[in-house]
Parts: sequence; structure tokens; C-alpha cells
Amino acid sequence: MNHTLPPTRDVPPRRQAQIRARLEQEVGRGRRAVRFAPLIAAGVATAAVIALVAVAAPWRPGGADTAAGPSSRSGYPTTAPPRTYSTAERPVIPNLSPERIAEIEQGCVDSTGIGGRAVLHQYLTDSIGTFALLYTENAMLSCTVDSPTMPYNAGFTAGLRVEWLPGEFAADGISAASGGNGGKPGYEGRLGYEMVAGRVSSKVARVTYAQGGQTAEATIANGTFVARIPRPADWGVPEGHGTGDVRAYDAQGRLLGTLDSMSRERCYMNPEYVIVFGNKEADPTTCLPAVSWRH
Amino acid sequence: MTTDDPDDRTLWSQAAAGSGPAFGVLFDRHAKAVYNHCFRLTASWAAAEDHLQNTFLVAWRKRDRLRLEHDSALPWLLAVATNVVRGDRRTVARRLRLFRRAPVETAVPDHADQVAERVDDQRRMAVLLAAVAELPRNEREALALCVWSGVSYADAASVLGIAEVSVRARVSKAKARLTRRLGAAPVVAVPALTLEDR
Repeated sequence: MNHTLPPTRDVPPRRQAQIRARLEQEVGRGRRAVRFAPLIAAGVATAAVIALVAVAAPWRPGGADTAAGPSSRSGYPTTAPPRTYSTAERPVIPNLSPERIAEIEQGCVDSTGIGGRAVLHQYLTDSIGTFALLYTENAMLSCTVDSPTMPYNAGFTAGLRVEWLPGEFAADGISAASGGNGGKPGYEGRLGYEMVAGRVSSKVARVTYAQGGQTAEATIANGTFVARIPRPADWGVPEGHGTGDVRAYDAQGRLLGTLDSMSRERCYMNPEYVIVFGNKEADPTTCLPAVSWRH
Repeated sequence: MTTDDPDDRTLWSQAAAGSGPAFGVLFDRHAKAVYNHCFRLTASWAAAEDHLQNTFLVAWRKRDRLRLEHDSALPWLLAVATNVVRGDRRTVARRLRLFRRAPVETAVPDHADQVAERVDDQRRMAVLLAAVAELPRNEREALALCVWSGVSYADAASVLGIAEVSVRARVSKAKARLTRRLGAAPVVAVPALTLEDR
């Protein structure tokens, strides 16, 4: 058997010319034009990543009272190694002890059954209740804390490439819940809600969420955002519930991106030319650069 | 390269400052080596063409992050190419699985001799890659860089971010494993280091 290497060969001239033309096109865009040019549309993983699940169904074991269903094209791996954080890197959650944070992280991830290590990024209490937003290596967890029937109840969006943003923000989960949780015992009188949660780049200073004639300001912390619109206890998630309108702005009030401006066909690639969001079948040379997310 | 040609370090600094022509010269100078390196990682000339393009696009986008420490940009370009191949999920192992399932690429019935030669290249390379498929990835890549593409141990260590002794160890282990795997057959001939003028 011949184990020698095949001889080196020239690049076919026509192909070399094509590649050179492609490089010239890239070079002609100007210095750093691709990587750092302001993107017309801030990243929203809408179609590919967001799962809009309007939950009126009763609680199910291991599930969630509000479920943002898995949306990855590749399923949701549960065995990815947990990201480790140094003390300095960890998200800052005011008024919570490290022990309590650890309890929430463990409780929320256990309630999903997806495994892995979740890191708490936001913890807030509003008229709807207490909510925790967490991220694992590849999933977002939207976790209701201290609900009437269980201490932690998390929905999740899995299959995320959380180290990358498709622009300046990613709406990783949009969900809604009927008031009284659709009549589930123990939830009588509880408010319904509509919400969106996701990640933002450091440029984003403000996120708004408009849905059903109301607009909510998102809380932004630790590279994430959460916007919730409370609904009456007798409110039910309407048929054909839409995603609403999510907008991200910088500190000067400039619009960085919207949910609507994203196309299913748009794609984003990382510096290694791997498509991390959007149409995985696209030619990488047509993709926009993804923005690093470092929280 | 004539004595009047600027060296890679000069060209790279110009490219980092935004000079497209300088980058074009670097492309012309190293395209063949990168192309052949990608072929050796994929056993497909067609895939190598795609990876060649992607390698230089990535290189352009990363140009201002790199300060050339050596006279040649080639070691770094080959490392980028390796990452492109890996990142594109066309790892050696994956490609080999593909090759085991699928016939070798159908040749375009044109330029018959040349096409036949290239198809034969792919068959031979697929056999070689089959032999190295069981190696750990870091050994495969060190082998491809240092043995197949002729990058020095020092340059490979630099671009891989590891110690030179580690590169030597990886290559040595790879050769030993291949020798065991291939029995008495010669391991992998070191190609003549005349890939390009650098």
C-alpha cells in the first residue's frame, strides 16, 4: 500500500481567481467593516432560537408553568461541560447570599431535568412573582421561584450558543402564561403575564418589549435582560399569540436592533467562520459577524 | 520571491494597517501551501478550496491581532486553516467516516488526466487519513503541520501556543502510533519542503 503523501498541487487557476476576488471584496469593505460595523439589526435569534409557548396547560412534573420550549435545530445537548466562573466573573446578584444563589441555581436546573450547571444572572420580584434568569453552557432557564406548588419551576430554551450574540442582543425566550395558570389548583388569583428574556452586549442600555398594547421596560443586568408584562388573573393567552416587539437601544437612545428586523435566513458566524446563529446551510461568507457575549 | 519582494513581516504589518494589496500578495504567496494543507486534513480538493478561502477571510479579519514573530506568515496561516477545518465540523474523523460511507468524489469529465490525478490523490489521502484517524486530534494536527506541511517545531509551537518540546512529543507519538498501526509499511513520507518560496 502506498503511504506516501500525494504531491502538492496548485490551486486551480479559476478557483484561485475566484477566491482572490472574494478576498478583494472583503478587503474593499474597509478596515474592520465586517466585524465591527454597526449592524443594521441587532441580533435576535428569533425564529431559530425563540420558542413562543403560551402556556395555559397545567403544570407537568419536571416541566414548567411557563415553558419556553427547546428550539435548537440540533436538539439540546445536556452534557456540555459547565462553564466555570472566577469570583470576579460571576454575575452580581444584589441581596442574595452565595448560599441562596447556589440553591436557586441548583433548584432551577433540577426542575428542568436538562442537567449541567446553571448560573444565575437575574433575580427579580414584581407583581407577578419572583423570577430567576439563568444560563447554562447552552441553555437559558426562565425560572419561577417560590411558586404555589413548587419552589423552583423553570422553562428553558436549549441549544443556544451562549458565547455568541446575533448582533447586539438575543431574545432567547418569549413566553406567556394565563392568569391563575389556566386554572391550576393553587394558582387562583395569580396574575398572568407575557415576557421576554435574553442576552445583550455591553452596548445595550435599554430594551423594551411591546405586546398587546402595552410596553414594558426590561431590567438589564449581568449581560441579560428581562421584560415582563403582567396580565389580570382572569386573562388567558390568546389564540395566535404573537412574539410582540422587542427593541434594544444604546445609551444615547439609538436603536440597535429589533425583533422584527431579523430574517430567518440571516446568519451569523464566529471568527472561526462557524455559523453560530441562523441558517446553518448558508454560505459563511454571506453571514454577519456574531458578537461575543462574555457573561 | 525575489530580493525586491517584501517579506511577510512587512506585508503583514501593511495588511494590518488595512492594505488590501499587501494582503493579496500574502494570499498569492501562501495560497498553495494552505490549499495543500487543507487537502491533507480533508482528503478533498474541493473542500480544500473552500477552506482556503475561509482561511484567508479569517486571517484578514484577525490581521490586526497578530504580530508576526517569524519571517513567514505561513505557520500562522496553517494554524488558522487547521482551525477552520476543525471548526467547520469537517474534522479528519468526520471526513473519514464520510469517506467510508461514500464513494470518492465524482470527477468532472474534463481535463481527464488532471482530474484522474486529483481523484487518485484523494484516494491516497483518504487511505492516509484512515491511518491517522485514530490518533488524538492534537497529534494529528501536529503531524499535519510539522511533517506534512513542513512547519518547523519552533514555529508550530509558537502558533499552537505550546512548548516546542510538546510539539516534538506529539509528532513523535504520532509517528510511533502510525508505525505500529501500519506495521512494516513506511509511516508517512516527509514531503519535499518545496511547497513554496518563503
